Order: sequence, then structure tokens, then C-alpha cells
Amino acid sequence: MIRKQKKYTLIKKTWGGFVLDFVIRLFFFLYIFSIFWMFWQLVVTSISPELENNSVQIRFWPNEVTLGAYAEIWTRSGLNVAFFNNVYITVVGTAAHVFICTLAGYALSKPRFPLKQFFLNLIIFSMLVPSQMIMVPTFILYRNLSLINNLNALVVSGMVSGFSIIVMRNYFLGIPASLWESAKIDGATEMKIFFKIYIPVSIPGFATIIMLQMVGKWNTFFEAVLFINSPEKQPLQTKLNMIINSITTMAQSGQSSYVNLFGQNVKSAAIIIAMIPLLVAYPFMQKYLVKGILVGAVKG
Amino acid sequence: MGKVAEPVLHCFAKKGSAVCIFWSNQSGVMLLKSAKNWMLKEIRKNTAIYLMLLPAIFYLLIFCYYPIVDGIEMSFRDVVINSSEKNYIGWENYQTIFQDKYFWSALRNTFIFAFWNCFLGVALSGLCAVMLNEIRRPFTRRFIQTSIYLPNLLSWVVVGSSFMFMLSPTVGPVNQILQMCGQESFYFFGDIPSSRFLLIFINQWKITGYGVIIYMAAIIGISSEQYEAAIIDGVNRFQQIVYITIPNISNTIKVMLMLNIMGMFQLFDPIYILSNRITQNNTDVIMTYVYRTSLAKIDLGPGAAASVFISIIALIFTLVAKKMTKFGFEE
Repeated sequence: MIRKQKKYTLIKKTWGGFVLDFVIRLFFFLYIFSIFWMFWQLVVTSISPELENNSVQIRFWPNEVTLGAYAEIWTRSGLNVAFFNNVYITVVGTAAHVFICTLAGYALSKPRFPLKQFFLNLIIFSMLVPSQMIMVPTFILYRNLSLINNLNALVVSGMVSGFSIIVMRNYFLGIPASLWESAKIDGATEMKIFFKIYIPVSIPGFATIIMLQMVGKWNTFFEAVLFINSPEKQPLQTKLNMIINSITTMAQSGQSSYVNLFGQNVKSAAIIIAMIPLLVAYPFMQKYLVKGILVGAVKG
Repeated sequence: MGKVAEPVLHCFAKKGSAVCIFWSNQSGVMLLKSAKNWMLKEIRKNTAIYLMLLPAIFYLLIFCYYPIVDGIEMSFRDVVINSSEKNYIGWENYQTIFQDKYFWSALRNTFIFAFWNCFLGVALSGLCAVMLNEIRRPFTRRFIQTSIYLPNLLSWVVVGSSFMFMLSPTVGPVNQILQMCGQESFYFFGDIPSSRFLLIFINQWKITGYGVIIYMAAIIGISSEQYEAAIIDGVNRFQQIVYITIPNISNTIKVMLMLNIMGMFQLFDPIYILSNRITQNNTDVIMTYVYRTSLAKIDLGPGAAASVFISIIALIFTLVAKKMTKFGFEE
């Protein structure tokens, strides 16, 4: 017994183990440092006055704190409009998504009805469709439905996903059938069972798809690039991209007045405004996001 | 696909054969009628279920399956916007893109990005997870896992513009450090040879945390008895990783490979945001090519052709990978 323990401790303290520990810790330190350094540099730059940013000195702490950049980007670049556009597509898009996918997931969790397998395959196969294949025809389709330059295009795109349906279906399958039977014996209709019994007991399943969908909708970019052209209809991500790009091109063409208008501090402020809602919500939704990712990995 | 399509055909065949049996019978018509009644009754019984399915199926048919058919059809005709007239021009759209040298460079880049993103996406996050498992304190481990998932949560625009700021030749902190070390400042996003590498690096920096979560769930499931037995046998930590941890997560590696291959050709956001005119030839992929050449110019025929072409390649890869990893959608 003593010998075994000695062996154990000997293995623990080899040079190889020490080097391994050191390398691992160094790697993760660098990785995490790169993430937090980036955030911190953005914060420092955004709360410093513009002139300071052009000095060569690298700063880890602002010499002078001002919130002028935030006021400027919020009012003068139209970011406020874009922000509320984004809130609209996130709230409405997620609500519609969750409603439709939950209904479908519940229906598919029923033991048997004619054509069930056909519908299930239709939904599973839709997850395999490559998005680039339908890029051009989708553009035409949205155009025919007059959804171009319409915020509702971003609500409609991605309103149903096979993934969410399957997640909800699996959640409903986990609820014991005796619950359904007892409600049926008491004379409840299918709709009533769904709304009064199944929804209240499956809140964690909801939370998972709500969180995933909200993050996805908040970060909508590709669809906005495709469907939205007019400046006042832009969601946050495309607006941010426009702000960043307008600055660089104007700086290159040498128009110094514009460089002052959208300086590096204003740009950083815009980036921070775009990510702050997710950073604030992250601690609360982390648990559900992890669950959603794992379900996605198992189900493909 | 065979696996997906099979039950449908089977279902139809079963019904068809049932009908045939009914017809060959003497009083066939009557029996068929009763079968019909049975179907109607069954449907009426499940009306609520069909109503619940209706919106989702309706949506998928219109916004997912109709565009596939439409896209294939569109690639064979001269698409004129605002006109319902259809003149088919055969393979001309395909000839147009095959003669375009930017299409070939985009195709080459797509393959290079797909390979590296796929390979590193599986290997790097697996390596990170294995390394994370060597950190024993639960709090530290949790903190690392949570932190490296953070970039995944942010949009590509935020990550891309943050990198543009950090690596900027004039105000970027990285270049300021380089200058303090006496080096010249370096325009990272304007450097042609390293542009592809930089995009792959940023992509991995963003997505690694996602894979780590999936791998960690598998690693935590490994029973500690295996490690204890190994320690008693005098196995060192490298050997533990090679002979215990990695064989135990081989299924997860397959799943990750499958997930990565399915999304392999769909890279759009990072390329669109981070490439510029200088590096375009080296970083352009099919999706940005289609966007730039057809949607932005409203010349949709060649774009549709390019989409169909790359989609067929993507589908072949997915099916081959599925066969190889034996990873099917259960049920």
C-alpha cells in the first residue's frame, strides 16, 4: 500500500508532468489574455478622447475619461435606429420561431399518426440543405414577396429550423405519457393539453432554443446583407460594418474632417454597444447555451 | 440521403400494396372505400396535430424546398428580374462561370479554407479539451471553458472589427508593441501571402470554444477508474492522454468531423468582413463570389449555376463523410 502511494506521488512530480502543466497553463493564459486584452483595449480606446488615440504610446489605462464617443455614435451615425431595429428582429423573430417550432415539435412527439415519418424526414433533411444553394433563389423569392428592404425579412428568415424542432421534440418525448393520458381522461383537448400542461413543464427546453435563437438573431448579418439596402432599415451588425468601413475609406482618401467625426474611439464605442447586450446576458444564459450545443452535437 | 428517403418510399409502397390487394379482391371497391374511410377517420382524429405541424411544414416547403428546385431551374436560364418570361439557355451559365478565372480562384480558396477549418476545427478544439482536462481545479477549468466560449457568442462583425482595430497599422496595439520592440509596423490585412492564414487563425480563435464544450462533455463521462488503474500500473500523464483520453472520445471526434464537414463550404461572414481589394484574390470563396458577381450586380444566372455547382460538391462531401463515420440521424 505504501509502495503504491509512493509510486503515485513519484509520477505526479516528474519533470515531464511539470513541463506539461507549464505549457498548458501558458497556452490558456495566452488564449484568455488575447480575449480580455482585446475587450480592455476597446473599452480604454472608447472612453479616451480622440487625440490621445493617435499617439504611439500604448495604454492599459485611460489618462482621461470621457463618454463623448458613446454620445456621438449613438446620435449622429444612426446606430440608435439600428439598435432598436435589432431589438425588434430579436424579440419578434425569436417569439415566432419558438412558437412555430414548439408546435411542430409537440406534434412530432405524438406516438403515431399518418405521414408522421414523412414529415419528420422533411424536417431532418431541411437541416442538410446547404445555404449557398438557395442564396440566389431566396433573394428572388423575398423580392417577389416584397420583403426586400423590409425588417420583416429578417424575422421571416430562419423562422423555422429543423434543429429547434428536434430539440423540442426530444424534450417532449422525455415527458411521461401518463401525464397526457390522465389529462385526456379528464376531457382536455389536444390544444389544451399542450398549452396548459406541456408548456409549463418544459420551460428548460424552451430556454435552450430561446437563448440560441436570440443570440443568432442578434448577430444576424448574412441575411441583412442580402435583403436590406436602405440605411434606416439596417440591423446593428450591418450598420456596425458600415461604420467601420466608412471610416477606413475616408481615412484613406485623406478627408481629415471625417476622420475626426468617426475616430477610433467612436468606432470602438460602436463595437462595444453591439456586444454589450450579449456580454450582460451571457452569465444568465450560459447554462442553457451549453445544453443546446450538446443537444446539437448529439443530433447533428 | 438513402437512409433519410427510405422510410418514405417504404410507407408509400406499403399503402400501394394494400390498395393492390384490395383491387384484386372480388369486392375490391367496397374494401377500398373502407380503407379510405379509415384514413379519413385517422386524419380527423389527429386534426389538432396536423394543424400544429402546418406552419412549420408550410414554411419549409416555401423557404427551403421551393428555392432548391427554383435554383436548379434558374441555373439553366437567362434570369431577368421583373419579367416572368423564361428563356432557357442550356449550359451557358455554367460555361460563363467556368471561363471566369475568379471562379476558379474562389473555388480553390473555398477548398483550402474548408480543409484547414475542418481539420483545425476538429483537432485544435480536441487538443484544447484534452489540455483543459489536465487542469485539476474545477473553478479554473470552468473559468477557462467559459472564457474561451465568449468569442463564439459575438457576431463576426464584432470579432472582425475588433481584430481590425487590434492589428491596425496606425493605432493598433499589436503594431505599437512591434514598434516598441524596434520593428516596422505591419499591415496584417494587406499582406497577401499571410492573408489566408490570418483568416483561418481568426476563425479558429473564434470557434474553438464551441468544440471544447462538446469534447469536455465526452471527457467528463470517462470513468475515473480507468485513470486510477493506469496510475497504479505506472503510466505517465502523456500515456494517459494517448491511451485513455483520446480513445474514449473517438466517437465525439467523429461527430465533430461530421458537424465541421456539413458547415465546411458555408463560410461567408468572415470573408465578407475581413477581406479587402488587396487580398481578394487569395481569400475570396464561392459564397462571396456569388454575392459579389451576381447578387450585387443583379446578374443572377451565373450565380445560381455556381451555387448549384458548389452545393453538389458539398452534398457529396457530406454523404461520403456520413458513410465513413457511420453517423446517421437516429429515428
